[in-house]
Amino acid sequence: MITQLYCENYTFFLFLIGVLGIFLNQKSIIIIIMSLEIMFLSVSFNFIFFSIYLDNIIGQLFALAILTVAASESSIGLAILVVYYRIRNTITIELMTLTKG
Amino acid sequence: MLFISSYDFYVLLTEIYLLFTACALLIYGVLLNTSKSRGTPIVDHNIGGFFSLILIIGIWLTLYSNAPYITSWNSLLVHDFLSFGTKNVILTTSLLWSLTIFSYNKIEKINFYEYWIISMLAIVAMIFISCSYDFLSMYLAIEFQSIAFYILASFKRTSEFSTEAGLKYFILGAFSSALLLLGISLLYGFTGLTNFGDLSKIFLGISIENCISIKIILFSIILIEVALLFKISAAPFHMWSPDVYEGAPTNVTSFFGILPKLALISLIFRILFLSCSEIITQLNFTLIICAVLSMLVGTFGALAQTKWKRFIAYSTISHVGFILAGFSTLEFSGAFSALFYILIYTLTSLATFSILLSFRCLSYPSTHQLRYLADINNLVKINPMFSSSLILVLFSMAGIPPFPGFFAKAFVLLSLLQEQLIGLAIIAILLSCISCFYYIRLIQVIYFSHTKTVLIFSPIEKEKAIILSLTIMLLLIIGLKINLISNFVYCMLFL
Repeated sequence: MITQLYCENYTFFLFLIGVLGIFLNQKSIIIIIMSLEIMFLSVSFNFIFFSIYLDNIIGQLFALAILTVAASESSIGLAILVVYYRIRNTITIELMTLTKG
Repeated sequence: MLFISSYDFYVLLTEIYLLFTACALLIYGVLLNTSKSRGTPIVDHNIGGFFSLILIIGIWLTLYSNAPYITSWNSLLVHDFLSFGTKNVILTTSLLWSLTIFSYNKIEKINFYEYWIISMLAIVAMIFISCSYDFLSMYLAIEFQSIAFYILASFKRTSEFSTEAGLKYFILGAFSSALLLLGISLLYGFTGLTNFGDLSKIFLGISIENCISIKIILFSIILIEVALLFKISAAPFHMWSPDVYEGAPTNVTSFFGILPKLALISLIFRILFLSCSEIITQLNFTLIICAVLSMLVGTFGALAQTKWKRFIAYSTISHVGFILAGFSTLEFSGAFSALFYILIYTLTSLATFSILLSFRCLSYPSTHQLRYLADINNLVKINPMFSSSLILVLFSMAGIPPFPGFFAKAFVLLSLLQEQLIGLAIIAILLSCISCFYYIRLIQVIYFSHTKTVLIFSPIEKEKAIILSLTIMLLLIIGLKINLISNFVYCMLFL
């Protein structure tokens, strides 16, 4: 039986997968952008599950807002990535050390 | 109209005006920039001039709008004196900032007029941040501002530094937004509310023993706090700020350094002192730890820097540490000192960036922006008035009386001592002594340096000179009569 706790666990583990995807990443920046999208998705799920549990509509409105904003943010991120790639011709992370720290 | 009243549109008069003119400027820029009959002119300087004029009318609109003290748009936005005052300060500061960076794009040959339009949208977003009264409007406004900043940070497309800075800023900013969202979702799930006013009422009688889910509510508030501290570059979440400040072109760095902190700190004040005022006593330790770490990282980081923009970034981190120390007292005297500090910091950073932008060294056949701290040696022989103005700004940042920086730090320390946070006060005093060293080291480099070489600087431009003299006069006047700012901050706190 799908309880509220089960939904909460699921979304939290999805968020954790996104966070680990950013930190355990050694390959490329596209993986980071995908992990960010997974995090946004998990939070949207969280809002919708809570909205069903609380019988409140604000959660679903928030999830709709997150969807819009995440879409625009990923488009901006990919545009910046394209501009970066034009200069550097690579998107691996080891070479992002022009500004140290 | 059942759910929208005409008050909703009246209180947003300035924002609607600014958005409308941003769109009109965009259409104007596109039409002019691509018209072959006019020879596809470069409209960047033109739109920059329009930007300043639009802001003048925007300031006039906000100052004289007799808006009532209400919440609008179904309690998504609030209009009290805090949002009114912050709105006016943001608009005035952005007008002065736009005059400062007016000719940067022309000199550096970045011929994109969209810079001004995105800056206008970012300013509107900052006004929405200071007005927001619900987590929904807060998140949308923060994302609006952040996206505008991601674009601005990577604006100089032919520079490796700029694009890398934009990419780093994007990744870390989006990560902090995701953390903010997780915090808001958990808070919403366990209270059912997203409005700041409703949250303040639900936390009123809350006590630890009765409520089972108090731990998760505390965790969600910690997440929201962490995300907002990310945005104001407090340690230990400061990693992006020196890199982004250094990589971005200097006009964008001045935008980052001067404007968004005021809006975000008024938002943090609203969340901590209005909606979470009962429950934040359990989480005092997070603010204290972040304040101490920010001051430590900022002070010792700035000691080791050799480049101007990273130096400014680290000194910003230490100033943010003071502001968090003011907030960590959880009393209104502390909040007063923090808001006072951020207003003085905005003024001094406007002066600092107008100085930094006028350091253009000759590198034949054009000039380049000064990059290293030690390159300003013997500035007194080139331009003694300019170096004395730099001294005044540095004294204010270091906290030397009679400049307002001293009073800002003094108010923070007094409120810390009043709340028995004596350890934090001692750490603050020791670290500001150390930070005084690296400000005065700059004065030594200007006046008493032993090297015989000197770089050739191009003369300071008229707009920067006007803004610089205006801000330094304001600093001196405020240092002599603190009432001017402290009355304003008291009204912001209590009205």
